[in-house]
Formats: sequence, C-alpha cells, structure tokens
Amino acid sequence: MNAVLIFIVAIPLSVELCGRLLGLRDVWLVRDARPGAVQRLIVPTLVLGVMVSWAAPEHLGTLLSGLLLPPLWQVVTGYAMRLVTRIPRFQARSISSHDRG
Amino acid sequence: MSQVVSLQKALELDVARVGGKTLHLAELDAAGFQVPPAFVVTTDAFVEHFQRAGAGALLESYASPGPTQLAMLRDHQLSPELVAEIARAREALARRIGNANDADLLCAVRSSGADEDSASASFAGQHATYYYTGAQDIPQRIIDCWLSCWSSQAIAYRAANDRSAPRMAVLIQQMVLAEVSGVVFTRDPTEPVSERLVIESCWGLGAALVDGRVTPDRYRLRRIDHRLVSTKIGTKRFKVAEDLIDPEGTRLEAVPRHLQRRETLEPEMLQRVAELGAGCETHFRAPQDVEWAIAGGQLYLLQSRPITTLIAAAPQVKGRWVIFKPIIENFTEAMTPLTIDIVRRVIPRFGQFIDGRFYINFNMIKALVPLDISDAQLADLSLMRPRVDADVPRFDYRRVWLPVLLGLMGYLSWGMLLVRTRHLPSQALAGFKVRCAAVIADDRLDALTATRRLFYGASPFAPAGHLAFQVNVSSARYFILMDGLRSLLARYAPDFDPNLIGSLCAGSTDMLSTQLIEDLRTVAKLADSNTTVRRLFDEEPAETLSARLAAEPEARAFMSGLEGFLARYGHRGTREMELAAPRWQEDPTPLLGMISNMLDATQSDDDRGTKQRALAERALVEALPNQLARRIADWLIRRIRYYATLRENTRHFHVMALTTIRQKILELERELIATGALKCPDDIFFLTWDEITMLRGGQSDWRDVSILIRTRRVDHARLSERMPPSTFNIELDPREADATDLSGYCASPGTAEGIARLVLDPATDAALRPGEILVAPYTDPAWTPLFVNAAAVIVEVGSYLSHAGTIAREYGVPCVVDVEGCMQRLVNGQHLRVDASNGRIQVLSKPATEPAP
Repeated sequence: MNAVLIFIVAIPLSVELCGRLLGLRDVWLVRDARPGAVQRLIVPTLVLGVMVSWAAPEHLGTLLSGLLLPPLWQVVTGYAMRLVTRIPRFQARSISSHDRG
Repeated sequence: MSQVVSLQKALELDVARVGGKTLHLAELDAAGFQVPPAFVVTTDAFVEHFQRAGAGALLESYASPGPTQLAMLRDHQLSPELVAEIARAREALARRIGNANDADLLCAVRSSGADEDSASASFAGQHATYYYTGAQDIPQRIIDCWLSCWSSQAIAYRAANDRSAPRMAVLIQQMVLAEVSGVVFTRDPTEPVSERLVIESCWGLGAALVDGRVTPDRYRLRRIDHRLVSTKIGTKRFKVAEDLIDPEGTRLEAVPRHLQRRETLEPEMLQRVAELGAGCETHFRAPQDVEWAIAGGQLYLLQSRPITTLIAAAPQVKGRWVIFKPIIENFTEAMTPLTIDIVRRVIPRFGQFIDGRFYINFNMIKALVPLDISDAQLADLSLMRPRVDADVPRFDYRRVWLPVLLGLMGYLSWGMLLVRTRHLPSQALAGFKVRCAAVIADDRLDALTATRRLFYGASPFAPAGHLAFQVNVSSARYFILMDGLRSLLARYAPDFDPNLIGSLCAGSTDMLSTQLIEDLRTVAKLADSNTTVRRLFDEEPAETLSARLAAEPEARAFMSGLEGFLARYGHRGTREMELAAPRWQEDPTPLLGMISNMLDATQSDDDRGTKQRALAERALVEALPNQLARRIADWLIRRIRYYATLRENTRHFHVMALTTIRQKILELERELIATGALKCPDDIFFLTWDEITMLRGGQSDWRDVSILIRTRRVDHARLSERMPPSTFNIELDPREADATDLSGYCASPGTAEGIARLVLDPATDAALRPGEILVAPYTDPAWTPLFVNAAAVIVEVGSYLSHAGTIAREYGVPCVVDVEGCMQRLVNGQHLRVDASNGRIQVLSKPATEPAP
C-alpha cells in the first residue's frame, strides 16, 4: 500500500520539482525574477526530503520510478508528436468548394 | 472553307466552329458595342492540326497527353497554308485599324472553346490567353492556347461539368493598351439576392485582376439605377508589365506608390462601365461577367460571358466541424494554399482547412467535453459565445472517463510546462528571437523544416523562450480561472454586473500589444515635435511618405525612432498569421498610416480604461462583503491578468516564427523567379509545397503551373470575399435580432452613441474622429490606434478573448464582437446606439449624407 502511495505522490512532486527547476533556468537571465524562482524550489525540495526519509530504504526504487515517470513521459510524447505529424495521414487535411475533379 | 474568319463572318458560323467567346463578341459587335477588331482561327484548324500531328485520339476523349507527347505537340508547327492565312487576316486587321506599319500591331490571343462561356459552364480561367503578341509569335501562341485544353485544371473542369471532347477556336484581337481595366458582374456573385452589380478595376491590363494577382478597387452599385452603394479601394501593388513579349521576363511590375491606393474610376466612367454591363445582360438576357478596358478615353468591351457561379456551392464536408476562432478573429480572408499546406503539416488531424479556414472536429470536442448540453450549446461554447441566459451545465458522469484519462496523460505531458509558466516573465520569451535568427541563418533549413523546427523543434526541457507555442497553449488555462471567477461572483456577489469582470482583469502593464502602441506613440510624438516631419505627414500621400521621410535631413530623429520600433516590432503587420502578408519591416507604409492616425487622435480620453477599471473595482468592493471570497477573487483576477498577458505576448513570438518562415519562402521565390520557374511575385503562395519542390527540381516548369496559379488566385479572391460559415453540419440556435437591430456578444461593457465608421484597412482609411463608432471585419495590432478615438467598437468576428476584446477592455471602450453581417448592414454615417453590455446595436437614424467612399 505504501509503495502505491509513494508512487502516486512522487508523480506530482516530480512535476512540481522539475517544473520549478526548469522555471529557475527559464528566468535565469531575468535578474529580478531569480529570487522568486529560487524560493519556489524550497517547498518541493522539503517534500522530496520527507519522501526520501519515508520511502527509504525499501521503497526508494518506487520513489525513483515515480519521479522519473513525468520527464520520461514528456520526452516520449514530445518525440512521438513530431513523428506522428510527419506521417501524411495524421496531418490535417484541406478541402475546398473550388476543388475541381 | 477558310479556317480563319473575321469577327463579322464568325456570326454566320455556329458555336462549334468559332467557340462561345467569339460568338458572344461577334453578336455584341454587331449590336453596336465597342469591341476591338479581331479574327478567329476556327475549330476546323484545331482538328486538322492535331490529326496531322498524329494525336487524333486526344480529340475523342478526356485523355491527357503525357509529357513526351505534350513536348512533341508543342513543337509541331502549324501548316504553312494556315500560317499564311493567319498572316493575311492579320494584315486585314491592321488595315482596318488604320495601322500603317502592321509590324507594330500587337494582338491578344485568346482561347475560345466550343463549350466555353456557355450558360452552364464558363471555363473562366481554365484556358490560356496571351497578350502583347507580335506577328511572329501568333502561330506558337495559337498552339499554346490549343494545348491548354489539356491542362490538368481544364480536364478536371470538363469532367466535372460533363463536357464533351475538346474543340477550340482561337480569337486574335487587337491588343487594347489599357490604362484601366476590369470586370463588371451584373449580379454580385457572392450575394446573388442583393440586387447589386459589382465592378472591379485595376491599373493597366485586366489580366492581373482576372488572375487574382491584384486587389482591385471594388464598387457595388444598385442594379436598378446604378447608384453607388459602396466603394472599396484596393492596394494595387502590381500591374501587368507592358513588355510581355519577353517570355523570360517577369509578368508583373510594381505600380508606383502614389497610384497604389488611388481610385481607378471617375464617377462618370463608373456609370459607363455599369451601363456596359447592363447592356450585355439585356442583350443575352442573363447575368453577365464582362471584361472591359479603357484606352485613350475609349471604353472597350473585351469579353462577356454568363455568370455560372452565382451561388457558390458549399463544399461537401463529411462530419461536423466548427471554425477555430483564434485564427478567424485575426483575419477573415481565406488563407493562401501555401500557408495552408505548410501549417497543416504540423497540425495533427483534429482539424481541417475548409475553403481556406481552419475548423475543429466537433465530434472530438463532444467526446472531450462531458457536459450535459445540446450540440448547439456546445457549438456556441466552441465559438466562444457566452450564453448568459443558459443554466449552469451539468456533468455527464457516464462520459467523464475519456476526458479524465486524457487529462492525466496531458498532466504527465504538459504538467512541467504548466508549472514553469506559472511565474514566467515576458522577458524570458525573448530567447525565441535568437532561435528565429538561428533558423534564418541556417541555409540548410527550407521553409517546411523551419516550420517544424519552430513548432516542435525544441526539446521539452529547452528554455521557455524556445517554446513559445507550448507556452501559449499552457496559458490558455485562464479560461478555467475566468469561469471560476464568474461562478464565485455569481454565488457571493449576485448584484455584481458580470460584464465588468473583463474590466477587472484588464490593466496589465506588461502586455506587448499595448507596449507596441505606447512605443508607436513615442515615435508619433517625435513626428509631432518636428514641424517638417509633421508637415510631411499632413501633406504627403501615404504611398510616397516613406521615401520623402528617408530623404529629409530634418527627419533623422524620427527615422531613427522608427528604425528602433521596427527592430522590435518589424516582424508584425496586418493579417500577420498569413505567410503571404507583407510585414512592417518589408513595407512600413501601413505603419506610417498608423502614426498618421495617432497624430490625429490627440484629443481622446486616454484614461477611459483606468476609469472603467476603478469603477469595476468599486462595484466589486460594494457587491462582495465576504472577506475570504474577496481574497480569492483578487487572487483569481491577478492570475487571469497574468495568463492573459502571457497568452497575448506569445502571439508576438508566433508572428515572429511566421515571419521567419515567410523569409525562407521569399528566398525560395527569388531563386525560382531567377531561374524562370516563376514569373510573378507572390505566385509562390498559390502553390503547394510538393509543387514547389517539383518546380525547384526541374520536374515541372512555368507552363505547368501558370494556369493552376491563376485558378487558385481567382478562387482565393472569391473565397476571401465571403464570410465563412461558423459550422458545418451543426444546427445553431437562431440569434435574437430584428430587422433594424444587430446583435453580438459583449467583449467590453458600456454604452455609447455615435456615427458609424466602417474601416476595411486601418492603415489607409482616414483616422476616426473622436466620438465615431469603429465598425470593422476583425482587428489586429494595426487597428489599435483607432481604438483610442472610438466611442465604441463593433467587430464582425471575434470573441471575448480576441484582440478587439482585449484592447477594448484595456482602453475602456465598449465593444461588441461576433456581430454577423455588420459590414454589410451598416453604412458610414448612420447614427448608432451601442449597448455593449447586452450585445445590442441599434440604428437610430440613416446617414445625413450619402455614404462616404
């Protein structure tokens, strides 16, 4: 039961943590926005610490799987989307009332 | 019997021998119309020529010659007897005209198919016509006309219209060296019930107009008394070059700037053209499409054929489709074939382009929205039309599993981006400019690969500045927050006017659209502060203003300010979602028009938006005493303001991507024009990507695509005149409206009274006077200066979230959007009352004077 719970909680935690980390990188060149972006990392990092102490040692693998799922999913779907839109039958069509023949 | 006869003799022959076009002209000539002298090579010559060439089989079927046979037929010369007969007929023509030196006589060589220009099928644009043809070229041009019987378009048209096997005569007419020419439709083909006739005209030869290559001046007149109803002056950037004898030359030349926006027809000549059209209709007892030309003050009739497409058939569409509002509210014209072909290749099949507009699959929306509402209600939701009178829709729990499943998958795919964009400053998007510059600099990327790279090219973990499209999609979540705010206020502040919610959420200081206007206003102040520059703006026509300013030493400060503005916003322009549309950095004339409008708009009340917001905030404080609810409402308002700004700002970068793709296309066009594969600027936008690839690879040439381009240009021009249907195969609830009033949807609340001012082109139509009501087909950033003076804004398409709505709320101007038919039913000078809060427009009185053109 704990393993399932850890896996489920790890997914939104991963989304938040990765999102906020990438968010920090996004605003790195905007000096005024940096402190806010760093602050926003505090809560998910603390939650990650709590999760690690809860899951360790027997459920660390489960926690890691839950944390890795969102970034991996994003990579797979991102590239799948690119591939799919290269296949003509999955591309949008165009029809016209002036089409002849 | 002779195979070459004069126009007068043609009257004695039947249509099978001289073709429909010739027979019509011969009749009109005999009836006393001013028709240029001509002779005709009959269909007997056509038949004999192809039999002699061993291609008799082509005459009996729809079969098309292959490339080898086509090349052979192109080289197969006319018989010496026929050439001699043509030479004699041409000499007779020269004598009749009184041309002493017949070597100088130029002719137009026109196809005249036996089944052409009949009442059921006009074959308009399907067969070839050649202009400025000298004596030595006539035989080859006749062959080329004949071969156009087997162009892919003509074959398809013939098959679709159940025509018989081809027979073609060729009409050789004295070339009218037209100063102005055009077309008169004796019944408006786009509105056949309107009892109006339409005259289109352009500079020089009418071929550019007939081919759809210029935007003509368009006059609508009442059929009954030829009274002018409306005038639309087109920007006539090109005209047919007068040295078309050179087959290697480009076919169009630029019209001098001072003539581009000048009206081509004086009122008296307009009446003569209308009478010419009416005369042809009376003669043939059917609505006619008449080509005319003016040379040396003489009005010539070049061609008259029945209008066969009075009621354009709607395309046969399977399935149910609803128009995609975010694109149509940016410009209502049809997209060009190349824009469609490039964009569709990066869009999955949840939508399709119908007649140049993008539609979303309604069945898919229905599956994804688990609400217990009717199709009409769901279509209204998809069209972003608020239904204030409707009950709150209930969830259909039986259908909730699919959206939940897709939502979970979406969360995994998009969740991180949603987190990243919660607090993304707009400056962080500036990286997209670097990305676009890298794409332009990379010669290995063509337009299609550049599109893919800019849409999907970046890794999901790339900086947000590289993901402008994804950021735009993620910021659309403010729809949900807006709904939350509406529900909260409906529950805890029932007395609060929901129309004021928009004003509450406006007022962003970070929005690039409003910054653009502020920056432009700074440039306008530079113009205003220098008497020489101000004088040039007051006195110089918009078309020559740019050159005068560049040459004026005292305008240096202004030009430097303008260059700075162009460096930041030069990729924008009117119809900016269309790849064929020029950008401000290519031609700043529209921008100078906007500055000119600003210089005239100094008397307006700039603080209307602030006042409106303050009013809404006070009303909220009074209507919402619950402190917790107030805090939640304030948070929602801040978030909505943030996401609305982010979404509007990403548009700035989308357009940057489209401009990058356009630059790639223009590079390719220059290459194709240099090799002779294309002859006219902008023609490339009327080909598909595969056709361009074939042209580039040498598998096809100009002759293969010229008629195709012409046909598509004409189709595009006709489609662009029509407002597209909002849905296909979905029955919408009828709108509440009566004969005198118009209705739409509130995008910015308030009421106003004023004089209607219809504007079709924000850059060139004169500035709005304070207190006038702006009536527009759609709006984009180029229209924003007009909002400053407007008492109210009425827009034919659009939604609460469209550019018109967003800017109207920023400026506190009452605005009604999605007002069907307002551009047709309203006229300049009418006194209107706009009750934007209730989406009603009332016509209080007719114009005091005739509508201004």
